[in-house]
Amino acid sequence: MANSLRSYLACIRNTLDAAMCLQNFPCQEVERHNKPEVELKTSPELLLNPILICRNEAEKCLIETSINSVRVSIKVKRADELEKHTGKKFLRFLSMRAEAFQVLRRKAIQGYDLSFLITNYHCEDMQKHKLIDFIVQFMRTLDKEISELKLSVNTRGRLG
Amino acid sequence: MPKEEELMACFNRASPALVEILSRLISVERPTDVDHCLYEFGSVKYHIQALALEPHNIYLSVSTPPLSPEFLLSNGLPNYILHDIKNMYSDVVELIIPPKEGFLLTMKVDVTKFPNNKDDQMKAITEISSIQAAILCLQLKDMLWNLGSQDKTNAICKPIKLVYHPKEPFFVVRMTEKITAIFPMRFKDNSDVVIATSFFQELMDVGYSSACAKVPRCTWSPIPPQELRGELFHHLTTNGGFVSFDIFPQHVKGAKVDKTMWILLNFYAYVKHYVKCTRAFIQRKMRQRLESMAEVLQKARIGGGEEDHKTLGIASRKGCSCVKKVFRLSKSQIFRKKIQTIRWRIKVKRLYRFRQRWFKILKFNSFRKYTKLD
Amino acid sequence: MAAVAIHQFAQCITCHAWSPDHSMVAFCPNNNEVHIYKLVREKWEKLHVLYKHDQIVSAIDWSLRSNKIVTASHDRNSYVWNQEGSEWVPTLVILRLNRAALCVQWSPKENKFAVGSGAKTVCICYYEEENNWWVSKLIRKKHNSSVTGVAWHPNNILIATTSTDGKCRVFSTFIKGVDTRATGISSSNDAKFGEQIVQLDLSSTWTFGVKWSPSGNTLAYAGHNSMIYFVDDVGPSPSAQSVAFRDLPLRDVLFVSDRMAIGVGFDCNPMVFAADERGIWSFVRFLDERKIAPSSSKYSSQFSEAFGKLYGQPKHGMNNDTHDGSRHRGGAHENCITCIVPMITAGDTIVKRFSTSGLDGKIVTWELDNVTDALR
Repeated sequence: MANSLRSYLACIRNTLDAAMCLQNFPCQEVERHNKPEVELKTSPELLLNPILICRNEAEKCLIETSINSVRVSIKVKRADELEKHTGKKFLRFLSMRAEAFQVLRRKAIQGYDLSFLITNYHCEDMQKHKLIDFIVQFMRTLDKEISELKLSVNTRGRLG
Repeated sequence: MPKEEELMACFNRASPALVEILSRLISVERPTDVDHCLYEFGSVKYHIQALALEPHNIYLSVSTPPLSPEFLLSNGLPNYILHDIKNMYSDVVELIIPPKEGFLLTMKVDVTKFPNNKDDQMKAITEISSIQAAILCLQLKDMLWNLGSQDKTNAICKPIKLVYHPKEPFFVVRMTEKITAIFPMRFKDNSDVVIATSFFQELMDVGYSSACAKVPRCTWSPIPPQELRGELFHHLTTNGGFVSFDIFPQHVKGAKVDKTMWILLNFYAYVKHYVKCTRAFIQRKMRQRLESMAEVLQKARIGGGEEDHKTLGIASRKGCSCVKKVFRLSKSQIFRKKIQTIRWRIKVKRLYRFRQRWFKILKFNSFRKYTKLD
Repeated sequence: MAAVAIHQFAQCITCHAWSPDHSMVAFCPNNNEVHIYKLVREKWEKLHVLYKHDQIVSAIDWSLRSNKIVTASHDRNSYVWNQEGSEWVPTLVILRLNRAALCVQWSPKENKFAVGSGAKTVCICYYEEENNWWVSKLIRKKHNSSVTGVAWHPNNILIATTSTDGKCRVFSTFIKGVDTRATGISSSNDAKFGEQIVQLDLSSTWTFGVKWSPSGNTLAYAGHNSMIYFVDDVGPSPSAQSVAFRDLPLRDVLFVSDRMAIGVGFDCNPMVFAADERGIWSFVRFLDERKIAPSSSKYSSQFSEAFGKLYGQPKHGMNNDTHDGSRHRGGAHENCITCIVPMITAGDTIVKRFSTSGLDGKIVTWELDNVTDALR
C-alpha cells in the first residue's frame, strides 16, 4: 500500500514537472485580460491533453494543463463513514482557508475533492520544485491526515 | 468552553446552584427572609426558604418530573423512598410531611447540626444538593431491585420508558435474569451521528475484549432491538441507532448499584459530551495541519526558504507559537475534565485498563503535536 | 564557454535588450516599466525608466545602428523610443491591435519592425516622416492563434513567425516605398506584402523562439513538446529536421553561427545544438556545468514520457520515485529562461557573446571563446 502511494505520488510529481512549464499569456478572446486558460477554455489550442493518474478506483488525480495555468484536481479515498466524514470536514476546512494556500482553488471541480490552480504568476514568485513538493506533500498529508484523524477519533472513543 | 462546563454539570450529582446558595446561607448571618425558587434542566424545581424567625432552619423543597410515566408520584414519594432518604442524611435533615404544595419533598435543614470543619461542612452541603439525583437513583433502584431479588413472577415485562432529561427518554426492559437498558440515539447534526456511531462500535469492540468481561455487555444496532417491539413509532425513529446495555445481578449488587444507575441516567449526556469534545479535537487537528502545510508553501517562495526569509519567518513563527499555546491550554483542560469524568464514573465501572493506556496515548499525542512535515 | 557575468536586476525579468555598444541594458522587471541600466565603474546604475505602457512589457528590441528602442506590451501598444539629449522620448506606433502585443524585432535595415500579437496578426511597422509616427501594415488571417515570435531574414523582406497554433510560417513583408526590389533573394522578390512563402507544420503543439541563422539559410524554432526544429532551404521545398531532447521545453533560440544554436527555456540551463559536417543537427551539451548529471538525465527521461502523455504521444514505462531538486540549483539561472539576446556589433556574422534573462530576475552574460569550445 505504502509502495503504491509512493509511485502514485512520484508519477504525479513527474507529470507536474512537465506540466508546470507556464508563461505569461494574455487572453486571446477578451481585450486587456489575462486569465488562466485552463479555467476559461475558450481557445482549445491553448490547452494540452488532460492527464488522469489513478492509484485505484477511488483515488485519482487529474492534471489539466494550459499555456499559462495548470489545474490539479484530486480525489481522496473514503474507506468508511468516519473517513468520509473526517475527509469531507478536513477538505472543507482547507477550502475555506484557501487564501492560506495561494494555489488552492476555493471550489473543487466536479467529481473531485480538491483542486489546485497554479498560474504562471505562482511560478514567477515560487520555486517550481518546491511548489511541486508542496502539492505532493499536501496529497501525502491529506492521505495520512484522514486516516490519522479517524484513528485518533477512534482512540478517543476507546479512551471514553 | 462555557457550554462544555454546562454539559459537565450534568455529570455532577449535586446541583451547583444549590451548593452555592446553601453554603452562602450557612456561612452568612442572615438578618432577613430568603425565598429562592430555581429551575434546572427546565423541569427540576427547587425552592429554598429561610425565615428570619427561625435562624437555624433552612427549608428546601424539590420537585422533579417522574422518571417514568408508570411511576406516578402524584401522592408524593412512596414511604420506602422517604425512608431511604432519611437514612442517607444524618440528623442534619428532617423531612417535612406532607411536602410543600407543588413539591415532591420538603426538608428542613438544621444549620446548628452542621459540622464545624469546613471540609465536612462542604461535604454535607454537596450531599444535600444531590437530593434530586438521589431521588431519581432511588426510583431507578426500586425498579431494578426486583432483579436482585430474583423475582420470578414478573418473567418478562413490557419496556418501561424512563425520562431523565425531558427530550431523551430511554427504556428499561426487565427479563428473567437481566435488565436491558436501551437508549435510542438522536443527533441534530449528521456529523455527530458519524462520530457517535463510530464511538458505539468502538465501545462494542472494547466490550468484547477479555479485560471488560465483567462490565455490562454493550450492543449497538442501527435498527430498533426486538425488545422495543410495540413501542410508539416516534420513539423508534432515530438517526443514531440504539445502544443497549445488559445488566446482570452482579452489576447491581451492593455499592455498585448507585454507580450503575448513575451511568445509565447520564449516558446521553456523556455521549453528547464525547461528540462535542471529538469535534473540537478534529478542529484542532485540522488547524494544526493547515499551519504546517501553509508553512511548506511559504518556504516555496523565492528567497522564502532559507536565508532572507527572516522577517517573514519571525512573524509566522510567532503566529505558530500562539496557536500552540492555545492548543496546549485547551487540550490540557479537556484532558483534566476527561480524567475527571473517567474517575468519577467510568473508571470503576468499566474500561479500567484504558486508564493506563490513556497516559501512553497522551504522550504519543503530544509528541505528534510538534512533529513538522519533513 | 561560460557565464562571464551574472547580475540580479529584479525579481523577475520578462525580456531584455542591449545598447549597440553593450554598455547599457534595457529590461522589463515584470511590470509596465522598462528600466535602463548602465555599467559605471563595475557597478550597474539605473539611468532611465521608460514609463508609458500600462500593462506588462512583453518584448524589447534595441536597434544596432540607429540606437532606437522598440517596446511591445500587453496593453496593445508599441512605442519607439529615441534618445534626445539625456531623455528617451517615445513615438507612438499605430498598431491598430485589439489584443496584446507579444513580440517585437527590428528588421536588419532598421527601417521596419515586426510585432506579433495575441490578435493572431503580425504588424509590420514603418516610419511615416510627414506625420512623425510609425504606421503598420497587418498580416491578417494567416495565424490561427497568438503569434509568439517573429524573426527577420537578413534580406529585410522575409519574416518568420511562430504561433500557439503550432505552425511556423514565413511571409514576405515587401512594402512599396520602403523596400526596393533590388534587394532580397530571388524567390521572395516578386512576393507581395503578406504573402505566405511557407507554412511548416512540424510541431504538435505551441511553437516559440523562431530565429534565422546569420546567413539566412537555416531557420530554427522550438516546440513545447521538447523539440527543436531546423529548416533549410526555406521556400517551395524546404528540408526540415526535428531534434528531440530529454529535458523541459525551450522558450527561445539563438544562432551563434550557421552551424550552432543555443536553446533556452524551462530547464534553466542553455542547451547547445550543432550541425555536423553532413548538416545533421543534434543536442551537444548543456552550457552550464552541472553538478549531478547522471540522476538528472534519468529524471529527465521521465519528463519526456510525461510530455508524451501531455501531447498525446503514448510512451511506456512510467518509472519510480526520483526526487531531484538539483536541476534548479547550482546553475547560473534558477528559474525558466525566457529570453536570449546576441551581443554583436553591426556586421558581425558570428556571435561570440550573448546574454540570457529569465523569471529569476537575472541577466547572465555568456562568452564563447571559439566554436570548438562549445562542441567540446
